[in-house]
Formats: sequence, structure tokens, C-alpha cells
Amino acid sequence: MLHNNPKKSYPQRKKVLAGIVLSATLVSTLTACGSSSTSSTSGSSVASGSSQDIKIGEIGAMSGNLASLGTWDSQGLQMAVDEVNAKGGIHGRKVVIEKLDDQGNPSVAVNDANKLVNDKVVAAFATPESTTTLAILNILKQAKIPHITSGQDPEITKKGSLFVFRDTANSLIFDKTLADYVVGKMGMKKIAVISNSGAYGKGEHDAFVSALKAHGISPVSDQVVTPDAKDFSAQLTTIKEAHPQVLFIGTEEIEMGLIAKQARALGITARIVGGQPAATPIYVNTAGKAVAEGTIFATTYISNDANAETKAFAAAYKKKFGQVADSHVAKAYDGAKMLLEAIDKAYPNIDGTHIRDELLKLNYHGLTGDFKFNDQGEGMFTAQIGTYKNGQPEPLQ
Amino acid sequence: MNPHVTILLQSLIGGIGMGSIYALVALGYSMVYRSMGLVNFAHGNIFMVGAYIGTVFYVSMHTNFVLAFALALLLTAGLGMIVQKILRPLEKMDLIYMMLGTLGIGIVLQNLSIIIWGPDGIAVPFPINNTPWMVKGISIAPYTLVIVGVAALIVIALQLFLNRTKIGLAMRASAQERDMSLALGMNVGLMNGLTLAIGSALAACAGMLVGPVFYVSPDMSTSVGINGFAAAILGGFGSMPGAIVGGLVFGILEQLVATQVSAWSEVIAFVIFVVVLIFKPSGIVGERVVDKL
Amino acid sequence: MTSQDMTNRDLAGQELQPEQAPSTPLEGFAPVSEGSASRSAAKRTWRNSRWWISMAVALFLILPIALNNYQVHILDLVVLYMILAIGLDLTMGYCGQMNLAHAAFYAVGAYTSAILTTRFHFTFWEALPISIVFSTACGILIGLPSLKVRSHYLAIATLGLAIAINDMLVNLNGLTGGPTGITGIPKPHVFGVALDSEYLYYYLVLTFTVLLFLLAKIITTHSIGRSFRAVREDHIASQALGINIAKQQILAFALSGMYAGVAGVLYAHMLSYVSPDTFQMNEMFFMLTIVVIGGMGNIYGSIAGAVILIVAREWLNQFQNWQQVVYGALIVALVVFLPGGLVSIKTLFQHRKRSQLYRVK
Repeated sequence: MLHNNPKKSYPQRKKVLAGIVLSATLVSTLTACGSSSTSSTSGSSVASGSSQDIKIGEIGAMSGNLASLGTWDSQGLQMAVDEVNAKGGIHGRKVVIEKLDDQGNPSVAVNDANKLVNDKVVAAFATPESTTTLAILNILKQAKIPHITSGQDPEITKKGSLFVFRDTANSLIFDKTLADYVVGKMGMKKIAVISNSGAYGKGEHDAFVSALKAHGISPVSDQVVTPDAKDFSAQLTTIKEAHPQVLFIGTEEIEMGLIAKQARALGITARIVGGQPAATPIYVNTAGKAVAEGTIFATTYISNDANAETKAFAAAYKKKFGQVADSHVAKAYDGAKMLLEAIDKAYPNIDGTHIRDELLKLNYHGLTGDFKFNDQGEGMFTAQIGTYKNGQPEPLQ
Repeated sequence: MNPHVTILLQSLIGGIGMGSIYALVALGYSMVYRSMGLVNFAHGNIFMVGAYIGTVFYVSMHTNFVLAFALALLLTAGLGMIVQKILRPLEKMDLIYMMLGTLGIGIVLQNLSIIIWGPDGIAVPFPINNTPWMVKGISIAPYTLVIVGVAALIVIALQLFLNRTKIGLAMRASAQERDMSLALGMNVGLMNGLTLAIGSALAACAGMLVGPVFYVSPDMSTSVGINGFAAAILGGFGSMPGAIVGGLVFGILEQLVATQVSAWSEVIAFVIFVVVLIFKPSGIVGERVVDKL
Repeated sequence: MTSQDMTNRDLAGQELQPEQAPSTPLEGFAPVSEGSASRSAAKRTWRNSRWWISMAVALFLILPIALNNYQVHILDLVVLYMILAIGLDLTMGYCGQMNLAHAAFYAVGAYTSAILTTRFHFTFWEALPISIVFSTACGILIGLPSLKVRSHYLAIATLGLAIAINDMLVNLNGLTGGPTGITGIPKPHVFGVALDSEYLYYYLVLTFTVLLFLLAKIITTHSIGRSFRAVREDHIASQALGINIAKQQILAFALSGMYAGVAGVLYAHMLSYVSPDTFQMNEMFFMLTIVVIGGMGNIYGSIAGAVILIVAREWLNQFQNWQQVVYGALIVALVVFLPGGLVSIKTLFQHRKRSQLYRVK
């Protein structure tokens, strides 16, 4: 039963040749790898300019299905760094970014974190997600590298790392603000909850349900879907039978848009509410303008037209990347500005401990609000409530 | 009406909608397996690429939905031909090599799509007015009927093609009697290429149909790819009626479980699937074609 | 490549052991009775290979001296994946069982140890055997469908159950920490020394790798290995030879569970963090790639595959999405042009009969 009859259409010699070429490719990748790693061991890396540069690390998903998160983070950081470099850098020293891709995978993130430690970055932008941040927390803490995360899991700042800083509010704050508005101000009582079983969805679910509890309310229906589910008719039918006034969706942008769209298609008329993802253009695009109309959301960044600063930022972003800015980019830009300011103030002692101390001293007014970090690394304690009117996001309070 | 009955009926409707999609995907798996003995693990990715091609025409270039649909089918069929050329040496090999080879192609397609179309995906508006009809508390979305209807039409057309046309008969012949067909002077390689092309077109058709319901993005391939494969196995691998029955059963099963214990739906669906597989390894309809290997 | 000499023997299917148990019913199955000449030849190669193995181990022992912290971390992963790949190769390459649940066993090992050490304050050494028992049990359980189905049916059955296990990790919030996983897994102590640096931890992983490699070597050269190969090649013939196929299949899955379990425990304590994201399908396919690209049915292939693919993956990482495109294209090309895996390169040069492709059922 062994298959040792090579196909006649593929001559042996061709295969031998191909085999040699392939093994040569592999060997060359290996040697290239060896040489690239030795170059990075011998002090500062040659590839990224002179040793006078200040090196910041960045870890995020740049490839794979979570790549949009990493890309937004990366673009916000890039904008802030380019601005500083255009003005001559920090005390005359150029800032360079060592950008590493974690594919949204915690194991790869750990490899990347080790690489950053090894390459002696002074600070890092790591990472835009909760799970990968949790994975690398300890490594960066031991190496005393301050890093900015935008994962919203409240647990991140409770793990005892002195070097983690969050450039946004955590889920608890968003969802408390939202619940206060929906229950306290609007007087809604029958609330249905649908969330996904991923890290973000679970965080949203727990935060919102506990915020409801504070008002003495428990959800009339509580459904969980998987992060890659596309059809929600089963869960939504169960929700429909509970006749809710409000439907809270605790998932990422796209899934939120799909759930909203399918909820309307099933004839659910409840008011849709959600956290940060509901404030993004992606949600509106996915759900469609008609469905998104009237959605109430809690965010730190309602629209590009909020004030002169956001308008200038949105214009600069559009010019640089050709896209419309949203809350993700604004928040990354804020985080990067704070980090760069802290490095600037700590100069010339640009080591982890000094940068951390400067970050803690910072009083920063940014696009997404006012930051003042506490010992745990939480800097943002308020969120705003907004809604869509005629397809445009508007503040509600 | 009793809420339990409402929920049951509603999830049946949802299940039939998703089931039609799984059936189309499962058909692609089965056809390719039948003619080439190849289990194509890149099928889910081809489904995604097909959906993207159609969506790019429909949303970005504002072509008519029907025209975009036809273009997606054609171009994805072309992709299938190319994939068949690459996979030819794997035809006679063992499953594991086929699996890895097709997985490799899947990885390439997946990441090329991210490079070309970006990771964010494209939202697709419904091509028809999708205001649901309410029948005794059960809502029926018109687009669900479109999905089921188009899927059914495509399956009938495929049956007619395979049974009534000369090329279709030649394809069936070369799938069942490879050596005899060769002796008769048939171009078996071309026939296999056509099979993969049709399989890919079916996947593109499924992708294009779910576009407005889902959201066309690179990660849409995984769950549909696996569930479609499971559906093909459930119905009886290599059997065309099996693929249709398996797709519908898997779709409905998934929805029914999801109404009861939503977070555990995949766990339970797969456990039930494995139990069925153990007790009836040949599937519901049964594998009709003898393993050629 | 230190393994070339061994390789040929393996590929030619004539792996002989001078001290083999003569009572197995397989005696007539393998080409054993070729007289004392081949026997002493086998002995010579074994001696030869022993020398090579010691050299390789010595190399891996001194390697960290030349490397920095990050490179040692990658080396850690290389030796860890050797365990995973050898375990997978025993089920898939040797016994021919389509096993797509290896990553799930890996997860079970990692999570069991993580839960025991963080929630119930077990030490690493107490948690290790319990975790191995769990992952092995899991291997046996998921191996059960192999008694009824084969080939692509077994592939989707094991894959489906693996997905189910991953979903359970996500859904059992109270126990597993849900989607965000478990943090703060303690580092193990050896003779009172905490293995909290990458360097020290590396030697722990290396020790396990060498032990498990030797175990795999013993298994593959003794009667179990021959029964495995018999099951892989021909079910009916091996039944005729009196082999209990069911027993061999379950044993293969149990071994897969055991190897993956050990690797899982080592992984959890190396990273101090586990989350369900790590053990998903792409992880499974990565392991599969290591085994096939290295060369199926050959433990040296698994070792070579682990070295090359981990290093290549790390290097390709800088190209972002293109890395995956190149990686995918390389897999296709290697499977098409070099299906015997890396270990068959030498046979290409020797213009010998090409390596045999093993059948997976």
C-alpha cells in the first residue's frame, strides 16, 4: 500500500532540482536569520539609524484577522512620532519605532516582548488588545519598560505591574456611564444583553451586567455568541421573546453591526446601546445607516468635529493615511503623545523608571479627554455618551 | 403562540438559510473529492475570495448585483482552475500531504486577500428590500428566501449540467473511471480542472449570497470552511445529495443548539456530529463513490 | 545535519534493533531475517547514532552561552516544539492516525498545570504528573473515534473535538479564567533554585526533550513501533499478524496526549500565562507543518522541522502579511517537491529510490 510510484509527468531530475532550490531557500533564511540576530546583539541596531536615536518598541497585530487593531494603533503612534521628529526630535535625538507583529497571538507577543527587551527600547506601545497585553505584562515589568496598552480589561492594571499605562478608560467605566444613562436618565427597565465569548465581549458583559446590578436591574435575556459567529437569529429570537426596551451589544465593531442589522431584520425594535465599538464608522457601515440611527454609545471620542483639535487631527490623519480618523487612532495618538512627552521630560535620564515617574506626573489634555495616571496605570476615568442623528455621531449629555 | 414554538420555528428558518450556504460549500468539497480524491482544505478560503470578488464589483464598483454575482462565479472558477494546476502533483498522495498542500494554498489566499483588500472587510447592503414579513410572531426576512431559492436553483442547474450535457457526462465519467476515460482519449486533467472550477464557483456563490447577511472579511473563511466540511462528511463525503442534506442538517442543528445554550453551541454541535460519525461513518446519505486511492 | 545516517535507515523501513524482543508476532513482518551481517550493520549504525545524539545534546547544552536572552527564548521554543512534534509524529507518522487534536492536548496540559498551581497552590512537580494524566486521558478519549473512522473522517472528528475543547476553555470562566486566560503561573523550583531566567528554564525544557526523545527512540525501535508501522501500512495484514489494532491506535493517541501534555506544562510555566488564543487551529497546523516538512515517520525529521520552522517563523515575522504568504507558498512547494520532508534531502542527492510516502489513515 505504499505510494512509491512517482508521477510520470514530473521527472525525477526536476524534482531533485526543485528540492535543492527549496532547501537552499530554507538554508538562506536560516543564515539570514542568524546574521540579523547577531547584528542586533552587537549593541544598537545598525539598520535603524545611528545609536543616538531613541528607540520605542511597538507590539500589535499587523497581520492576520486582528490586523485592523494593530494598524490603527500603529498609525496613531506614527503620527505622533513623525510630528516630534519633524520638530527636531527629543532634544535633538530622533525617535525611531521598532515595530513587531504579534498576529494577535499571545505566544508571538511574548517572543516580541523578549525581542524588545533585548533591543533595549526605552518604552513601548504594547499592545492594543487585552490578552496579548496580559501575556507580556510580566516581561516588560521585569525589564522595567513602561508600556501603553489600549486593552480595556480592568484586570490589566490589577496585576501589580508598575509599568503598564492604559491610554483609554476600562470597560467598567464605559459600561457604568452607559448604564447610568440608560437606566438612570432614560428610565429603561427591560434590558437584554448579547455579548461574545471573546476577551473583549466577556469584559463588556461582566462590566455592563454589574453596572445594571448597581441599579437593581438584571437583564431580561442574557445571550452569548462566539466571536466568529455570523448568524444570530437563534439568540436574537430568544431575546425578542423577552420584549426588551433596550438591547446592549457587547462585541467588537463588526459583530456589533451584524447583530444590530439582524436584530432589526427579525423585527426587534429595542433601542440599541453599546460601548466604544458602537462609536466607530465601522459599526455604522456594517449595520447600515438606518439601523445605526439612534444607537446610544459610551466612548471617549465622539466625532472628528467635536472641537478645533480633533478637526486638525482628523485633517492631518486624512492627509497622511487617506482615511477617516476614528476613536482608535485618536486614542493611540493621545497615548503616543503622552509617552513622548514623558520621555522628553525625563531626558537625559531616559530609562524605564524615570519615564514611568514622568508619566505619573503628567496632566495631559488630549483628543479623547483629560488624563491623569494613578499608581496602577489608569489614566482616564470618564466616558461620554453619544448617539447617531441623521447618520452623524453627536454628544448626548 | 407558545414562545418555545416561536423560537423553534424561527431557528428552523435561520437554520435552513445557513444550511443552504453550508450545502453549497459542502457540494464543492464533495465534487472535488469525488473527481480528484482530493480533500481541499483551501475551500473555505476560496469561498472568502469569491465573496470578496463579488463584493468588490457590487459595492466598490457599483455594478448590478446579478452581474457581480456572475462575475464572481466566473473569476473564482478561474481561480479554481489555477489551484487545480498547483495541486495536480498532490492528487495521488496521501491525505496528510493533500491537507498540508491545500492548507498552504489557503494561507496564501487568506493573506493575499488581507494585503489586497485590507483586514477591515466590506459591509454589503442587501440587494433587495429586506423588511421582514411577520407571520404569527415569526419573522421571515425576504433575503433568506433569496438565499434558499438561489441555492436551490444552482443545485438544479448543476444536476442538469452533470446529467444532460456532454461535458458534464465526461466529467462524471472521468471522476468514476479515470483510466478508462484516459483510454478513450478524454482529457482527465481538464475535467478535474473543470470540477475544481465548478466547486470553487459554488463556494463563490455561497460567499456572494451570505455577503449581505455576514460582512465580507478575511476571517469569514474559517468557520464556514470547517462547518461546510463537517456538513459534507455528515451527509456522506463525495455524495451530492449527501452534501445538500448534510448542509441543511448541520445548519439547523447549529441553530437549534444555539437557542438553548448559546455559548456552547459549537461544542455541542461538534460532539453530536462526532457521535453521529461514529455510529454512521458513511454519513446520512452514504458515501457513494469508492475511495480511489 | 546530525541525523542523516539514522534517517536512511528509518526511511528504508529497516530500522532494526539488536536487542529486540523476539516474541512479537511481528517477527515475520519486518525484514528481520537477513542474517547476522545486517544485524551487525544495524549495531554499527546504532553506535554511530549514539555518538551523533550525544554530540547534538552537547551542542544544545552549550548553545545558550553564545546567545542573548531573546535568542535563548526562541531556543526554548525550539526544544519545546521538538517534544510536540515528536509526540505528533508518533501518532501520525508512525501509527498513521489522523490526529488534529494535538494542540488541544497541549492546551489541556498547560491549563491543568496552570489551574493547579495558581488556584490550588500545587508546586510544579506536583502538578506535572497530574497534568500528564489529564492530557493522556484526553488523548485516549479523543482517540476513541479512531476505532470507528479513518482518514478525513478522523481528521474532522479530532478537529471538531479540539474546537470543542478550546470552546470549553473559553466558556468555563470560573475555572479557566475564560478568554483572558490565567496569569501569574509560578516558575518551577529545582533543588530550591527558582528557574526564573530563560537560561535556567531552557535546561529544564532540554532535559525533558532529551528524555522524551529517548523514550520515542525506544518506542519506535521496539515492538510497539513495529506494531505502529504495521497498523499504518495495512490494517488487515496487521490483524492477520495478531496485532490488536484498537490497542495500538489508542496507545498512539495516549502518547500524543502525553507528549503534548508535558509540552503544555512546560509552556505554561515558561510564559507564566495561558490563554485559549494560543491553542487554536493555526497552532495545530503549525505543528503539523513541522512534522510533515521535517519528514513523517521519523523523529529526527521532527527535530529538524522544529529547528527550521521556529527559526524561520521568527525571522519571517518582520514581513507581516507577506510572511504568511511566503510561509504558505513554501509549504505548498515543499509538499509538492519534497514530500519525504527535510530528512529525504539526502536521498535526492543519492539518486536512490525516492523515500516512501507514508499513508495516514
